[in-house]
Amino acid sequence: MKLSTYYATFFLTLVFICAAKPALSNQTVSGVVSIQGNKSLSNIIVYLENKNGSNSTSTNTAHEVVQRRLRFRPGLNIVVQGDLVKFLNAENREIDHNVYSLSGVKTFDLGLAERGSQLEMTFDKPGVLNYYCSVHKLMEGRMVVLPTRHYVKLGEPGAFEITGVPSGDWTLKAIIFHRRYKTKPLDITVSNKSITNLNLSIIKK
Amino acid sequence: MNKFVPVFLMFVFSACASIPVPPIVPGKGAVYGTLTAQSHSKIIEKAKGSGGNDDYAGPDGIIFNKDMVNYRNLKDLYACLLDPSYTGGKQINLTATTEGLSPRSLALSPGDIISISNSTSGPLTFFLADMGDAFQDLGKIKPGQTESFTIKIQGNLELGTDEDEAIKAIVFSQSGLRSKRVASGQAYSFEKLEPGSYDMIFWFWRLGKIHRQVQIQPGQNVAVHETLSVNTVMR
Repeated sequence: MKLSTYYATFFLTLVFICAAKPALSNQTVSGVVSIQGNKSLSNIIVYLENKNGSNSTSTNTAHEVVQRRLRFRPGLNIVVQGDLVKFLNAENREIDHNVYSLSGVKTFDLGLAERGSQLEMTFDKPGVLNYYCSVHKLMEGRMVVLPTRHYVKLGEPGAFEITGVPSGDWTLKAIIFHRRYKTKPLDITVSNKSITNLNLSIIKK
Repeated sequence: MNKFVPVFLMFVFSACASIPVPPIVPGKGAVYGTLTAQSHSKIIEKAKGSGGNDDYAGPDGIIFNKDMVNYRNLKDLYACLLDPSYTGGKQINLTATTEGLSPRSLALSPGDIISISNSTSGPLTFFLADMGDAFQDLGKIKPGQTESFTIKIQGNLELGTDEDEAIKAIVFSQSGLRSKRVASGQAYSFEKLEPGSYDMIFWFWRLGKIHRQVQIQPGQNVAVHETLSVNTVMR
């Protein structure tokens, strides 16, 4: 190989590394979730949504919801759009289960599953939906479908940290289940530095 | 085979006879019928096919145990008619206990009045809200007291409290919605309607809604019988 070819290869590799650098950035977005009136709320899901609509979900994940002792476990599931959810009938005796939802986010009826079998569903649209077993009265579950993998679930208001955030323009939001409250979203720009000390407010409607 | 026909006809006749048919009013019309909730068709099929071998299956179909949704005994089914001339005024009574709100679901119109009795030991601050920005503050009710509130917003709402997240009801509110709350298999009717076309909605909170349209002619009754199940709401 000629010397000029070596130089050309070296130069192209350098260009490729430089071009790829922004996508490899690994920043942290952190701060505090505060609630008006210091109300104690549980299950707060803080997440980032890309302002340009390019919410990366390239690596889809499979999740499992187990049906055992006549409950969906866990009852609250957080997935990212495009993810697959497997509903496993893991009862210790012969009980059939059904899974259905009438939500505008996703309407489906997966039919009947006997003990040991499983039903599957891909969730392709962001939103919050409730699903049920048509047979058993206490079998209700909630699926939160997020637009990105950049999220964290908090058990109570307080500090949050989202790691591995690529550079770009983002909106920081939260999902809460108490309908008295709503989030005041924050627009942020992530570049080469982590963003700290954010205050995400949850206010009364 | 023929000897069974009269028995079958008697059964059909007695079933029909049990539905109160509204009186004919000159120049007006009515819609009436029954509203029934039913299990998923696949579980009915399986129960019938198993010959009683499954724990919920009897020789004639499903035997509901305490863990199952007993579709035959559901109390909160709603038959609704959208009447543009209806501006509300109906009163609906609710009771709040530490177990939750009863009834657990309501179908109503803005302008209707909900009257809530607080049977808990503490004050309760009620509100109505959807998942978005629709919101109505209803105010505080002291323990042992009853207060009434006129509904002002519409949508798929939740009637909740600040103090206890378990005390809540699902509310379907739409302008001009006249509603009848019935138990599964029971009759409903909307009477003295002006002739014209009406939208009907049949709803159970866990099974969703079925939409129908009905044409009302002067001096006529129209029968609309409906079944709510996972299969019928999905079609």
